[in-house]
Amino acid sequence: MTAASILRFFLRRDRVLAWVAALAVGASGCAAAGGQRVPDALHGSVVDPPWPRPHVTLVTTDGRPFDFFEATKGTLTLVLFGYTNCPDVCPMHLGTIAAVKNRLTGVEANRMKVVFITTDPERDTPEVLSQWLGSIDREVIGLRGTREQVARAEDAFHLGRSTKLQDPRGTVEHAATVVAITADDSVRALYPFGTRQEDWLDDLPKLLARGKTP
Amino acid sequence: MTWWCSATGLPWTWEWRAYPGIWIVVVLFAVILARSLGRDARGPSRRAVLYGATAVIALWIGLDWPLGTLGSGYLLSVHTVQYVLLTFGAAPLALHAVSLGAKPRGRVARFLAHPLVGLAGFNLILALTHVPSFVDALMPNQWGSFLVEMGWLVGGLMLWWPVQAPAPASRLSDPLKMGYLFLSTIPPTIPSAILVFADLPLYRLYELAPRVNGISAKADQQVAGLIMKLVADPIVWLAIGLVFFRWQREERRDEGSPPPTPHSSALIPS
Repeated sequence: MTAASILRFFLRRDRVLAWVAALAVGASGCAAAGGQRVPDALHGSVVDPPWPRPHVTLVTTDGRPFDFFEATKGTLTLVLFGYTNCPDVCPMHLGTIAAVKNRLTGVEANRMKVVFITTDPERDTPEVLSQWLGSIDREVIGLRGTREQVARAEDAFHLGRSTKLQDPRGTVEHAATVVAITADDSVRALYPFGTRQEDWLDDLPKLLARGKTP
Repeated sequence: MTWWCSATGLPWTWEWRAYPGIWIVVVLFAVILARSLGRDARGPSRRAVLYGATAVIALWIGLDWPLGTLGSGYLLSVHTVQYVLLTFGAAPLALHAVSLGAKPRGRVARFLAHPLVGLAGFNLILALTHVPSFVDALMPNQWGSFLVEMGWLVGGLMLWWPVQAPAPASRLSDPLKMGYLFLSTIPPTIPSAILVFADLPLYRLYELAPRVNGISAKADQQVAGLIMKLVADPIVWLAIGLVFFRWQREERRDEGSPPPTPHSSALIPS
């Protein structure tokens, strides 16, 4: 078979190749098309009407009381509940947010706070919680409380209450949602597990812009 | 029933898992290879058996637990190791084993030995199996994962056949084989560079997979890009070197005699 006959072979099958190429381009384009959004739209679920920033008091990893409203008011705050032995959701959410924070400007990063509230206060001692959060992002505020205090905090954030299962791994079922509270002290959006870095990178500047002091 | 590795979203553990589909494919591959080797009237050489067995082992390691499990649902870097094992390990070793004794005469064998066919087939499969939306859609499904991994094997066979095909199917002289192999290293530079230099994780699957040993999605992606170039390319360079030395040896041997046939077969001297 000569080179010319090979060429003829491909020319005869140009439509097949075109289909394959179109399939590949289409597949990559689908994601982009699916991601097309109006400029102000958020990737998270928008809370409409927004809820007010909750009032809860818990304890930091160095044992000081933490009045959530007073300590975070006027700041973009991302809140999530979880536990240090969580195998997937918690390290994923925190790692994703930490990676995106590193890509924001210093000014932007300083205008937001990330708060992690443990749903496993028995195992997540202050030392354990502090060490674990430090391994992901030293600036995350770790909070603890009694089971009752944590349950009240979950209620205040409109999230389902966590449950500790009686399995050998000590699994704690908890809300896999990150609550975004903007600087105007309103809960604006909820981010489920599966929110990607590109989504956060797109949304954080928008969330920072909301409630910004003129 | 779990018969092939695929992404499950479950946390990673070192607990062994059985994948019967993979064992069937590996056994089928071994049987087809053994039958091909058995066609040699003199019986397969020990060298051919050795290369064939190594190809089967490379395929098995590349598909089965733990590489298959980690690569299909946890780490892109391991997914790339699988790609290298299948495309640059199992495929050329199997073809080399076959080339030591076979004399393929069919039109298909000769058609597939054309360098354009080899490069087109390999690069098309390389491109499709690295498009993020394809990988994200296929890898959580056992059939999808099967398709991607078998695609790599087929892509590898297509890439290496123009170099390994023995006479009369062979089309390339040794210098052209070296040029062909060098050309084959250029297109993978594109996905490799994209993986290394991308600002964000490209694959939803690996970005949101449960973390293994705290390796971040971005670091995993960068390692994957490096493996694609720094592990796969040296294998091709080694092949270029082997062809070069064989060519030189034959040139010296044939000095003063009529020029050698351009259809020398085996990549590695037998």
